[in-house]
Amino acid sequence: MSLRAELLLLIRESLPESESKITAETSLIKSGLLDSSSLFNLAMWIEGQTNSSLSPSSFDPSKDWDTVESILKFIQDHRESH
Amino acid sequence: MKDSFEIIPYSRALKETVLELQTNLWSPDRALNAAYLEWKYENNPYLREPLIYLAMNQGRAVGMRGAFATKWQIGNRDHTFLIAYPDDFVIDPGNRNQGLMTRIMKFAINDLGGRGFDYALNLSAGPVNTMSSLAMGWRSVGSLQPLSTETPPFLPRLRKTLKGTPFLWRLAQASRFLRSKKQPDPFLSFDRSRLRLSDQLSAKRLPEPEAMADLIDRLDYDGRLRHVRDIEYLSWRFQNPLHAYRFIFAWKGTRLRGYLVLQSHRSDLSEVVNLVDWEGETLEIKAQLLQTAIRQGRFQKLFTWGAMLCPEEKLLLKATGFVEVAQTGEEKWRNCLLLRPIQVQMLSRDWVIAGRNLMKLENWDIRLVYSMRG
Repeated sequence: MSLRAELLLLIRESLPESESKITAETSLIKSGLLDSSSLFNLAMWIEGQTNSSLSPSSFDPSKDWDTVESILKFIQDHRESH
Repeated sequence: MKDSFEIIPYSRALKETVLELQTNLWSPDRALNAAYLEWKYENNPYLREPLIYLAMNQGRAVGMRGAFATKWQIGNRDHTFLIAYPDDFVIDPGNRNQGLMTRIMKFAINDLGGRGFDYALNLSAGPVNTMSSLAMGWRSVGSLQPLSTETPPFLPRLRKTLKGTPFLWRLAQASRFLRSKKQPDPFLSFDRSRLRLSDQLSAKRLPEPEAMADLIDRLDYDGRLRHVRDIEYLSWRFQNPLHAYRFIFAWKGTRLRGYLVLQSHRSDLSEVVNLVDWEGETLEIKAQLLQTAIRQGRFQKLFTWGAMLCPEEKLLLKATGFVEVAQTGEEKWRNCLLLRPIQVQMLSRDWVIAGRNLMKLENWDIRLVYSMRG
């Protein structure tokens, strides 16, 4: 499974069925679509994908993780910097 | 689905449904929850009107965030102002995963702005709350650098040894003395010690607000942002009905020269005791207070924050068995100083008060007593 597909699956699993039709550009955080525990699960998943420990002081989820595209870019950037 | 929820401010008429909802967070005891709500929100020394925001569904509270007022000083003792402290986030288990936290917080921030608050702060967020706060414009100023001691008591240590020993493991299972047994009160040993330790040291269950405030006034103030600890605050703070406190005072005659405050959760069986505040005219007095607490208390685990302590104080703690708590896994999402300006237009600017950048940890003097964890 590709990283994108894995991410989409993770997000869809955390959403109510009625809101599971998300695209790469759907706002996940600014819109309030992802709830707090889903966000935390996402953070844990991103840490696993980047193989690094995120510092709570070092990123802004509403900017860096608002869409599937931005999350993939965040992972890519962190992989390259480690 | 979202449309079945309504976000509203708290009113006295909703107290019962709030107490019921809070059996998921504060305690299973509604009477204790009522006492906590009254102490924290109705008897808050700075704002008597509860700042509680609720998600309602069919007349029932299914989500809540409460904010209480805290009073801070910066630069000099006279420069004081209020900061809102959003706390007590809970969603009814049957109504989770529906974005209620975000909706409640948006409502809360809007209301707090209308009441004149410039900043909101949180020192007691758990991992999930920290993450959702970061997603809503909060920033982590930094880690409060948790420190703890952990001394397994003799019997559990013996039990562990026996379990790993051939032929003797049955003894570990059979002996009543060696069965796991929770000590009901982490202050048991402390309280058995004599309340009057010496002419200079005394241990008590209640604070001495006047003497403590007088001591704080006499000590140097370096201008870092800190909570005001005056008689009004100290008289209120330790009445928290969910917590138990113990105090050790160092005296010279009738003059207080130092104090140390210990706290535990009444309903928490983890037996962690927090060192929540610690002041003294000299380092020697602080060392004496700390050594007395450890000797008299024989606590299984002591916890505190080390980020704001001076190097000598950190050395004292380390010499008495404190070690840094590893900030890995979920742990690093706790013990954060979380801050956000209330006004949206401030989010992209520098967060500065009295010329001090609030995003720099060195501009803060934070103690566990300022947090509702303490």
